[in-house]
Amino acid sequence: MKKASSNIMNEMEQTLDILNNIKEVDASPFLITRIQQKIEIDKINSISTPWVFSIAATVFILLCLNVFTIAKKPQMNEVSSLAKNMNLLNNDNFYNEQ
Amino acid sequence: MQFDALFTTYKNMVYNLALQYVQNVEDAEEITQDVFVAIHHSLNTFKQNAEMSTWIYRIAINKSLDFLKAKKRKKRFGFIVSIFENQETMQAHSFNHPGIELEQKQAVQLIFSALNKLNDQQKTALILSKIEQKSQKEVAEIMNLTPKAVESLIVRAKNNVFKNLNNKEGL
Repeated sequence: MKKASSNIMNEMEQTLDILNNIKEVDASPFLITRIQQKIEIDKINSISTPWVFSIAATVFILLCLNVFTIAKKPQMNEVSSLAKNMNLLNNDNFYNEQ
Repeated sequence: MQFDALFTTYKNMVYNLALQYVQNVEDAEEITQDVFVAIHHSLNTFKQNAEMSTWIYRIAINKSLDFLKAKKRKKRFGFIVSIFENQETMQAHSFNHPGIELEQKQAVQLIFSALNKLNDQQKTALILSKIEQKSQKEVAEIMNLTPKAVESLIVRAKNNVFKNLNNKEGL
């Protein structure tokens, strides 16, 4: 049993030993040019971090201002009751037209 | 270290490692380009306490595995091709490894087709130990594992390759 398993192991090793014969090959000499080109394209396409932060900050400030304005805006009911108390018309029927 | 010097030192290491994963010149060149672009981007963040070659090996392994995953995904969507050709014949068409001698090409191609069926970790362990001739300690360092874990990974990888080969012969 042991002998059989060691035979299998040997066979396995022998089969895989063929992978030791794979030779190292040289990379193409033009690779560096292509890499430099890719790096340049990446540089052009990428937006710098300070810009990203400033855009994000502007959007955030605008959003905050909007929320603040909406929260501060007086409710229509308050305006109507104030106009009623002061006997003001809260419509545009100034001449009591029908 | 300057980028140009780094490229000169490690270009063949990266290219050959990529070749073992994809067994195709064009794909290996594409991976090599991606690896060096990634190195260029993160060269400033490289920690000097780690070995430069280990760091580059890790980037090359991740890029190669990502490339294979992306290729698999693309193949899955190319349903017209898959109707007429099965995956194995497609792999055989794209097999183009310049490091293999002509008389051994068929045998090596058969082993690679069995190796390609392994999971990522087993494949990496076998490529690094058997083809790149790295010691178990070096493989452990690159893969961020213990030497014991690498040892068992290699044994399982060899068993699975052998099983895959036998299955193929049995067909």
